[in-house]
Amino acid sequence: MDERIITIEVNGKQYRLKVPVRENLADFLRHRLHLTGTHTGCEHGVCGSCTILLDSRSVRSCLILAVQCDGRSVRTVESLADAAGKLDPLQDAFSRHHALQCGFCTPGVLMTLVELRENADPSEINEDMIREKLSGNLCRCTGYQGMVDAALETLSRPDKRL
Amino acid sequence: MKAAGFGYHRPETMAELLTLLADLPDARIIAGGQSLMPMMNFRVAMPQHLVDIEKIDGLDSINLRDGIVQIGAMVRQADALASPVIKENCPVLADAIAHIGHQQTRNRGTVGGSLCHLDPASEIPLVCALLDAQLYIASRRGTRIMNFRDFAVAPLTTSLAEDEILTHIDLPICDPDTRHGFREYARRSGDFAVVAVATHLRFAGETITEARMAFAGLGTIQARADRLEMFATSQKLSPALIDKLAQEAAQMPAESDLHHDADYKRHLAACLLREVLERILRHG
Amino acid sequence: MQHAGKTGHARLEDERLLRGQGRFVDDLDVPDLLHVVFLRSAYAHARIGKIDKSAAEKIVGVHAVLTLADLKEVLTCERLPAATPASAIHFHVDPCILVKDEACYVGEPIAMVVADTRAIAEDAAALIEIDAEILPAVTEIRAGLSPDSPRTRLDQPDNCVARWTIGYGDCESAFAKAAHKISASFELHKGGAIPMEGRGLLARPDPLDGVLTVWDSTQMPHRVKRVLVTTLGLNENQIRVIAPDVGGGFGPKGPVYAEEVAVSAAALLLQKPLKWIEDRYENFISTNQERDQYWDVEGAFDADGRLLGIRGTLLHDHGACTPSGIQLPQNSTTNLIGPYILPTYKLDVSLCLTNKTPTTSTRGAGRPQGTFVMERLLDRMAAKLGIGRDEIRRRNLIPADALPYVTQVLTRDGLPMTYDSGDYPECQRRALEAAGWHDFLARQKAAREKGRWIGLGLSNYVEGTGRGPFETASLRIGPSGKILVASGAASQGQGTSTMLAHIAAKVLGVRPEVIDVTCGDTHAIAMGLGAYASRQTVTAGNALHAASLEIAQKIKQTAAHLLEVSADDLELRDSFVQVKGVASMKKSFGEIAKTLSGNAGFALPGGMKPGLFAAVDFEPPAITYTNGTHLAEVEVDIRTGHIKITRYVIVHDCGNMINPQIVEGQVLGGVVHGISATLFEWIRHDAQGQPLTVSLADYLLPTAHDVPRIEIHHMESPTPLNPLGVKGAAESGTIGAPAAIVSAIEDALAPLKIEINQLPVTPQRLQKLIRKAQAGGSP
Repeated sequence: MDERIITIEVNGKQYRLKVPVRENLADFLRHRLHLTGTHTGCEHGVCGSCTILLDSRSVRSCLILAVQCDGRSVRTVESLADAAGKLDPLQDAFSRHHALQCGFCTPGVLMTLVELRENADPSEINEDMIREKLSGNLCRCTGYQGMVDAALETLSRPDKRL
Repeated sequence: MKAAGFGYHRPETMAELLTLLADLPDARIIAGGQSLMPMMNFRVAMPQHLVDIEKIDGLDSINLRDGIVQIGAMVRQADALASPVIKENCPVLADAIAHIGHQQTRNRGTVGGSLCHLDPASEIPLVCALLDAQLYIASRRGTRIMNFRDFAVAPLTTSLAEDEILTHIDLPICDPDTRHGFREYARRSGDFAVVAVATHLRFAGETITEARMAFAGLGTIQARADRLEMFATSQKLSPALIDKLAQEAAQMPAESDLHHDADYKRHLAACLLREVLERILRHG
Repeated sequence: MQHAGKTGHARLEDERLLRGQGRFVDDLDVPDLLHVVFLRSAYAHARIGKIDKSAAEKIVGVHAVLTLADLKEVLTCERLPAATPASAIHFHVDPCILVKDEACYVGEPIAMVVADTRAIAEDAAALIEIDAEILPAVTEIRAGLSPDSPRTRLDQPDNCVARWTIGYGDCESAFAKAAHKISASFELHKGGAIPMEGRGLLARPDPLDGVLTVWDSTQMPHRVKRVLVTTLGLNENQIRVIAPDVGGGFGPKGPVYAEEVAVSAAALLLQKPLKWIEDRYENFISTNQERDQYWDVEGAFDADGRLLGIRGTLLHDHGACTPSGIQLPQNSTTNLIGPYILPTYKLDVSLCLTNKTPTTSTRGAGRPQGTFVMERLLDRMAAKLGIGRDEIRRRNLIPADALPYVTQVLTRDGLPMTYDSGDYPECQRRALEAAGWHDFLARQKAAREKGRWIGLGLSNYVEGTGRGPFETASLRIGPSGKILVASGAASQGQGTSTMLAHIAAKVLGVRPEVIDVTCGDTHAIAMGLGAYASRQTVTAGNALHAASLEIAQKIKQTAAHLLEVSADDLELRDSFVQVKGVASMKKSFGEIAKTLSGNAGFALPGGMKPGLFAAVDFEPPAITYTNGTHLAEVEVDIRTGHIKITRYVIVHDCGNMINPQIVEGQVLGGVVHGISATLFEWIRHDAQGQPLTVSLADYLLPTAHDVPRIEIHHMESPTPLNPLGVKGAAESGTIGAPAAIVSAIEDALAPLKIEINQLPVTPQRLQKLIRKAQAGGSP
């Protein structure tokens, strides 16, 4: 079986590991690094459950091979709480707004919103923009409303909120 | 749903890449992987070798020169969408890319990957058809340049040989005498178009001196609608002309697929073309 | 009622899930774990001959390739003992554990590969060669029910697996005297559940204690255990089934499937821990779904638009087996009645076996279709009579003072379907007011003048919730003082643990966070049923409520002896029992539990019975009926046929609410499921029975951008049927949605007089109706 040694930074930690070249990043994170917060809901790039940040950009980790991430940096849901374990404000808002039910899609949704927070001007973030950004993440439980509200509260300027 | 096994290659120079493409049997180039990886995970695609071109320099730049916007094949759709050069000089491409997929797929998906996959409903090939993009194709045998219309053979089929790679494309810039339009109908935000239309009209005064109109989603390859263009050329853009063009669009060849039949697609083509042209008429 | 929620109580489940520390079945890992892949039928109907495993067995990393013949060593039977009793069924067709000689749908499991990794197992599965003789497939129910149809299964007499008539009253006379009659035909499709996490399990035999532990993404772990006990011939103490975090259920994770038995059997056979995780493709072809119902109905009305009767036929696509009896179409037929007075009713129902994936309940469970039919008949009759759609409903709604209202149909438990509490006219009135119904005509007129096609639609519905026969809950406090709750309830995201903790916390005077709740573990509690029919707050909630009251009483009685005061003078506060107003006179729950756990040879104080433990089985006396009114506002782009839902208002009544935020979450998710069923979801097959919608690119689910903000208003009509006065809420949102949305679309297009008779309403379907109407001359 074709294998490669890769060096990869995940959530600030360096790893050097041998991986089968056909292993995708989602499986690598989940089953080799045991970072099981990233979920695979479809393995064909539609549902968004496996969304992670690769060099700070959101990507479907089921559609990228681990070997392609050699020398690169990955952030997953496990990176969001601070060193003392305190939840990220977005995570906290998710709980208060009941933005999650089964929690399976939640990590991917959070990482999509983290990218939005890091790149968009808060004065431009409104409900429509959040719904558009979230259109790459499917959720079957919540009807999305709680996540939209949590994102509005956390990411937008007060005058853009409802 | 896991990919079948394959050999993985990540050349660092163009020369190395071209040698691999020439020598490896059944090799597929992976660019952003947003179409290829789902097919591999479904085992619809099972290439023996995968050649990753991410490390090769010079494939991810956007340049402006001599009335041309040159876009590298590895330019990510998200970067193309954010590019001021493209927005100012080729706004129809920017409009089209805004309709592709989602943030997560645009962050990986590339301009060249979309062209080489050649889904008949996809947006970048539509713009390339509209503007007669020139495609630069390299192999160990040399470099050739071809018009998109010669590149696009059939849905999901290009004229690239096994040892060739698309390196970049040239699109003409949009000058002050031209007006462009783009309109797409998709079921959901980010879906492939059911039908999309792009137009590029050059005016002398009120008269259309050059008419370009192209469609995606009809099931055939993205292509300019010669007959419609002929009707429009040398005419004044008027409600009567728009009616005429919409009627013609409703007669275009189209193929049914699982979700939408040819009749509905033709109807959409006419509606979307009408919307685009009415907007140009209103806003001048 | 005093509510939890919206008062700063986060769900107990949230923090782990938000940190990425959930434990879904594919997150679990054990040493020496092997992975299973199923080889499934590629044909809708085929006779299966020789299975050649040799090439697959040679792949490095493959441990076994197993067929039914191989599993027989550890199985007591060849089929799942799944049948739900129903006298209307002519012949039961239990699912095969693995196909023996006849495959009856694409996706039916035939063989399994056990390997080091999933990828290797997939490599090997592709090399298994099967001699298959393709047989004619039944793919359409009207054709399937005709006498000359091929058979879905060669050993069955025909495809009509069940036929019955539901009804009451003299329907013929009602139609004979009717002032107005209306008839309609509907082709109603409803899709799958498509939870974000598919099915899956990890089965681990432990040679140390001889217990097979199965972590299973299921709604009903106790039922899984029961089926495993039967099929594997083990004792109850040899199997433990745990539902860990489950990534959504919505119905289809309720029935037990072949894979659950096959993987468990293979784990026993090989004495290895095995994991099977359903991928999305498998989810589309092998997990039960809903599909097509064809209704031909007539409604009879008096001169004022009051219903006199409904009659007709219903044909239902049952798929290739009968894993849940007739539940799904039965719900459709009874829910048609809804919150209305229907004096007579007669519906002939035929269930057709087809060479497709079996159909069982998905969220709403057949009820949205029944509601849809009734609501369409009311809208059409209103149009015919020239009265408002609200007015015709007012004339037919059961008045509040008629409740409890006994309908003339029976539910599955054999009791008359009886609406226990609620105020249906008031519910509709509030919804109309909240949605601005009476101002809408003016808005619509103004919009039409600008060329915009907007419409407002409504629907009323009931939902039978809290189905029995029972649910269990126990509460235990030991000397540690920790409050331990266990229940046969199981959660797939509903916040069941939070709901239970809130109920116990209120009785015991503690914060919910200090309660440890275990759901979905057959070792935590001996009996249980689990998640179906929007039932767990009703059943498990009341069971735990009773157990909590028992323990609270016992704490006070014990403390009364220890503190030498009257039990009436004691109160419970923050895990202590104390004399009211005298904080210094108190005992901790742990001290009470320690006292009651006894000292060797000494008597317990005051003759108290040992231990702080209570277990209660709550048996609901009858089904309790939630109700609601939905109002949807839409805008139709008549050129593309695109439908945008611009506003959605619900008035919802599920009795007392334990936690309004969780109730709203359930309703919101349910509505979006209903929107999805109305506008997007469509399971397609070709004429040979090949499924065509097997990816999330072809099978559409709505995104955040495709759904509106949803406004929920509550009424709380407590049910007299349980001490908490609660009803279920998990499916209610789905039931009203298709009817309300289609009512709105028809209203938007009223000048074109368009009638919508098919679900889903795709843009193509709608646009063709629009063009046809336009060609017909109007408006």
